[in-house]
Amino acid sequence: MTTYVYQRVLLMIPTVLIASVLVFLLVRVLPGDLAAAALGESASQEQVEAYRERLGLNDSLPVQFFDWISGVLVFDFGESSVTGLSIGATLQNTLPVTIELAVFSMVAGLVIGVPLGMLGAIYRGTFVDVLSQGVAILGLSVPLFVVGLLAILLPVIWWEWSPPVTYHPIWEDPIANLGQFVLPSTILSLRLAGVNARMTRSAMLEVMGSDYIRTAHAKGLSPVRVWSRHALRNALVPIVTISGIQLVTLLGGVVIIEQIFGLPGLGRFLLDSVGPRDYVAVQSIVLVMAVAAALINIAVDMSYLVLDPRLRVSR
Amino acid sequence: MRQNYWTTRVSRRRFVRATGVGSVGAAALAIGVACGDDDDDDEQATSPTSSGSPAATQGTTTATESAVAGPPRGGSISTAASQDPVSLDLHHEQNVWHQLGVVYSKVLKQVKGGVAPDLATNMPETPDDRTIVVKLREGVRFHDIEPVNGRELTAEDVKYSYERIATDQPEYQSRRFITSIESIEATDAHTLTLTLKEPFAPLVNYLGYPTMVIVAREAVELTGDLRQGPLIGTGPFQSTNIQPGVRYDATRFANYFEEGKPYLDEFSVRVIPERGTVVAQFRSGDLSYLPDATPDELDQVRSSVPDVGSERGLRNRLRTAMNTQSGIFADPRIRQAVHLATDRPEMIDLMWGGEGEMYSVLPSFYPGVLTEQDLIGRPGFRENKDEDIAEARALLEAAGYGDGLDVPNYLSLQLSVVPDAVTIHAEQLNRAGFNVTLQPIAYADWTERMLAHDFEIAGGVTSMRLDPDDHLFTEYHSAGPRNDPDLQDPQVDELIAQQRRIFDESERSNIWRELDEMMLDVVPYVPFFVTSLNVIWQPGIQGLTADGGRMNYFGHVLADVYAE
Repeated sequence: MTTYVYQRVLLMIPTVLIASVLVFLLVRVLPGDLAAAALGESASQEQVEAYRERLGLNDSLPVQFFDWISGVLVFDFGESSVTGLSIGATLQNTLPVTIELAVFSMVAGLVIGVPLGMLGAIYRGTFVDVLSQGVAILGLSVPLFVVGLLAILLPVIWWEWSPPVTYHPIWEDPIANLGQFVLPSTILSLRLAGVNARMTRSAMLEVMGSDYIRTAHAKGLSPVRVWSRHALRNALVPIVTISGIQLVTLLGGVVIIEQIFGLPGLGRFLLDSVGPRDYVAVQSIVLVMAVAAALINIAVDMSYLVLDPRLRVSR
Repeated sequence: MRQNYWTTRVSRRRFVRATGVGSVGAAALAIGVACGDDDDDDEQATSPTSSGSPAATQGTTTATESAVAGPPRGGSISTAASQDPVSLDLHHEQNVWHQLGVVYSKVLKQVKGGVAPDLATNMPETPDDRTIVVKLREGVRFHDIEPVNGRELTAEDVKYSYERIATDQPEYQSRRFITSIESIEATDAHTLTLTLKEPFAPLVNYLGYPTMVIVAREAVELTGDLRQGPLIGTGPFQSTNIQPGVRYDATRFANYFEEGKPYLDEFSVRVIPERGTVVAQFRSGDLSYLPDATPDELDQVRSSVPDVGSERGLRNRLRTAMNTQSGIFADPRIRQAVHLATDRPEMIDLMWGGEGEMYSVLPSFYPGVLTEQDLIGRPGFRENKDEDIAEARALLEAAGYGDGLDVPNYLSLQLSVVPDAVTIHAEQLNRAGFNVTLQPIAYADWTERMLAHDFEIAGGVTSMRLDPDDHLFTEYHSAGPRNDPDLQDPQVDELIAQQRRIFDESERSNIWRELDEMMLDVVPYVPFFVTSLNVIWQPGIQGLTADGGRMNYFGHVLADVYAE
């Protein structure tokens, strides 16, 4: 098993390296000039040229890449080409916000989705099943920005109340922090909950037809115990897999949700950096996201071993 | 729809005409109120050479009674910004930020009607046309923050700040305002003498530009620049908390040079990127005031807060630029055809609920320029648009495009409401015989291509400036840094140069009008309209003004604001 873990971690290195090269090239393929955008509508061509030189944008691409990646290897992400602020420091401030949002959303997705799927499986073919499936499909199909904006606007129209949007770090004011994260996390979790509900339902249905479930019932175990201890546990492997994949896609959703709910996270940092073509910032953020995605995938792979003893044996 | 528009417009114009004297009176009163608790110098000394804007703003709530009785002290006020400043160093900034502006003062300040003394005791004296003498207030103190520790401001600080702005480093974006200065001398502790390379009338207005703030040398030398602060100025509020991406807080500066001001104890700006969220926060009462509200947003707010205060100001100029040196638009007949085919009233109706203003080069709040009233009925502004379209078609035919002209790459800047305007414009051009294909373009790409004149036709937006010269030289002079259409017209250059040398505003304004007229023929840009935006505030807040948008929310304005 240890060898397997090492293999997965080692495989992560070329993955991240390829991702870093790709993102480095992609941001430079984007039309537009960082220096011109940064200096604004009143800058002359000469000023723009001088600024390009200062930022090192006239260096060859390999030189620019080497400068950046050699810093990244020692956790020095450099400075934003637009604001001049340390990207490492900004990542340090924004990453916890996004992690908190992602974790809460993940939890909410499981808390909402798994019971919904279980209900659908247990009451298969009934109104409860239809309702749970309907809710799941709604969660999957309604775009995040629509739900997010409605969640901001409707309370104002109905109750003249608007959700709090001024960020408080959890270590400074946990109550205010949780109060601010409830709504965005729930909204961000809707898609995840929908996927979880559908996956749970189908996995549960498959498991519930098994002999050992019939045996458990025959032993006289309570239905709740059968569903939770026997059926759900065995249905968890595909749910964990899909949750891991969803967590990676969820990183895309944070861009929208952080924007709407005023959360100063990684998504907003990315959006703010893409507009003015802040190459170094965009590269660094995407690299961090790529590393996060790779780590999540490793964690998902590891979790199989915990959840399914057969896999432990085969490794 | 057009019929309705014109009916609305005429009645609005009639209203303005009917209340013209009253408006001027009201504006004067508003200045009086705004400056009522300033020292009297402000009102007496408003720049005779400054550009006026009060006629463009129409207040719906005023604060006269309370101001006369003496505004109450205390309370706090909050607003929202869509993003952080690029830098905490205002000398690097091209934009205007409330959270930074409240901390600083300038030699002059922008008020309704132009500029007025801020740190100066009076408007600058001009012993000759190459010398400007500024007398500074005595006893002005910096904020009591390390390393400046509340010391008194002197002429050396102003000299230092201007010399800092004048550096040739590209990020010092206000440099263009003071390139006309040859030397700066602190004649004594409170007198500054600016010697100009040549006569340059706009300089007085530029000294009131929101980024021309006075900083302390010690603050800069602390870390080498002010990108990350500290924010130490002589403004009415002292910065207490900066959380990038979250909020900026400031408290009342007790030693502010205008005695008794500011009235409020606290001021904060929250960073909320999504505009819908900002409006919702205002509607729920979590924000005190909201700048730059569109007519739609004002309606939304009024549906939940009917007694909200508001004032309207002119804001951005929407327009399209055409390359005058290469491509199909180098032919003036084609440019004229585009101008004729442009139906501004329809655009204003569709995009802005009839609340925009037509213009030629300069918006009507600059004195003497062509107003909407002057333009109506002229080619391109005719009430019967069919006449314009027929003329546009004739011009196309004369240019050899009787069967229609393909415009395969009309650039549409993806910023603000520009895509809406350009989409409508493309449809209007198609009605007149063009066959337009739009090409959306991001800001970073757009800026680069405009600088290189690498385009044929490009729809964009530009913000208001404090002095007409900032529009004219920058955008129309052959050496202008953002002469996007690459206009090379010696006559235009000469007129722009002339208005720079004339200190008498009425004489200057004659040239502005001449340029206004001339550009209707040359048409390097096709003007769409000037957007009007509102500042809106919660009931109980007094003293806020619009005056062309957010530029005015700079320190001195918030010093006048109070909560009942």
